[in-house]
Amino acid sequence: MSDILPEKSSFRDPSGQVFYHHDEVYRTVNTVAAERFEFVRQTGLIEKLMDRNILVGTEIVEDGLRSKIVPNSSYLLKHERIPFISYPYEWPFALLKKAALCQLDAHLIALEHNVTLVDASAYNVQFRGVNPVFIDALSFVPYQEGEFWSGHRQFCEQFLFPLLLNSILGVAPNNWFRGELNGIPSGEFRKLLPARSMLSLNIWLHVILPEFLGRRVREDTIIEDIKSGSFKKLPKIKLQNILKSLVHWVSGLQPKAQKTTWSDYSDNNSYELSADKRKIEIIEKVIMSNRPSSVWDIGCNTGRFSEVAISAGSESVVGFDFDFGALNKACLRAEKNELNFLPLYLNAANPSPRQGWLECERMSLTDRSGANFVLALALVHHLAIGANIPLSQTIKWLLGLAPRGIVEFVPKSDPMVKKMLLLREDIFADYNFENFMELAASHSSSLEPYSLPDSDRVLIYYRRD
Amino acid sequence: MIDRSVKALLLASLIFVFSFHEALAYLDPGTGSIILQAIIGGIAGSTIVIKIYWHKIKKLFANERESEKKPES
Repeated sequence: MSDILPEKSSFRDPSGQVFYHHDEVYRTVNTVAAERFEFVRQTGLIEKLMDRNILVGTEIVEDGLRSKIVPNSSYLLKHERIPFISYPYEWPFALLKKAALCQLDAHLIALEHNVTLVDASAYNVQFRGVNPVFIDALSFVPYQEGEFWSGHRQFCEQFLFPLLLNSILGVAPNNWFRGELNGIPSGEFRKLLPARSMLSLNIWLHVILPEFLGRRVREDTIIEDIKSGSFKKLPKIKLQNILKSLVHWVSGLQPKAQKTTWSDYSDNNSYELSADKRKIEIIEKVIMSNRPSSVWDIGCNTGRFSEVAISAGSESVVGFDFDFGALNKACLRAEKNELNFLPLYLNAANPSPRQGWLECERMSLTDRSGANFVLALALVHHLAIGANIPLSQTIKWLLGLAPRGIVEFVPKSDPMVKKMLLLREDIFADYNFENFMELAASHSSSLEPYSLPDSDRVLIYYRRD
Repeated sequence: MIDRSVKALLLASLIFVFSFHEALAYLDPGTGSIILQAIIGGIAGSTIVIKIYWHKIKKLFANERESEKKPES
């Protein structure tokens, strides 16, 4: 049927495919997986995981509709729609850790029902606010006593190693993860481990030994032995213990303490308290009159203004920033104040591209746009001056993200911009308020500037519609 | 009992580590993970038991170091 839009990332598992139909998300269960799915369904696991908010809303569609839309499938599932699809390479430490624990929890609960997880892909976890949710109902399959955990390496490369990279070495894994797409490869990660980490038994069990054994063993007979069961298999209790010890380990991981440039920005910024107060008032007023369902806060920092937007009536905010210290604080804020706010890593000068198989397995940031309001506070100068993006292109990009929004213009007289220009030549002759307004006018139907007291900064409320 | 399983795990690991040649590129990198699970499943006790034991070893070394320092202070 022509109104079926297949999800382009859903092709690896022959058990079923995800597609969109009339704006709803569906997943087929193909004949090969029907028996397995029926077993899982009868254990009551799906309801239990949904009750605990671990599995995305999943319901079986009645046969009439199924045979009408996808007659060749055995079952048709309808899923709750996740407002914004994010990828592991966009998650700050706090979110990757939550996702890892969600994956492990789902696996442990599944084992109680004699069900196991067939893989451990980080792409199977999504977020509602900062709450992780498992999205792939077909990853659950009947558990066979003694079977090995086939997703162990995937778990390590997509969850554990990126977390350890941050917690042991203080290195953010995101750009590497984005390049590799399937996580941090074991062989590469092992080479980076400092000698002191060798004291940890967990490091031996999950990093060094698996990688070393895999690299050294060339005798096919051993693989055959494992397959044929000559080796004693892994009893369920031991699999559960491995998972539980990982829960314990991952729960205690923290990013290596580092003060990042922007993590203290909200407390330490260069403008006056009165300007800050006025800024909040303007955002509140504009958001209240718009009541947007989805706001993108580009350069969200610790999420202070995202929170203002939510309190003023926006349903959800996706925040973007390139500073991991600020992002982790933003996650804490969202969790503590129970905000529908998802803070993600983004270098606005190099946003997530389309990539993966056929260059469309993972969507670009633009592919996922759908915000009806954008907030871009204290951002323009970072792009136009910090990253040498022409002002015209900066404005075109920002105003193109949503039909309405608030953009802050920070002039050259501002201490922050002065600092940026301190050690470099000022090649930005067109960077001034008049030019900004002229360019913004060419991409919008109305502009309302709001000046801030005791500051040269200006907030501009634009509308394209 | 714990003693024996930890020794067996280490011994088995050493045998594996030193008795095979360099890998062929086609080998699934997940193999090592499965072999390790086979070792854990077949010989050693649960990882939690090992972990408890591991802390004891670390503690032992820490105690030794502390007792070495004591006469100096």
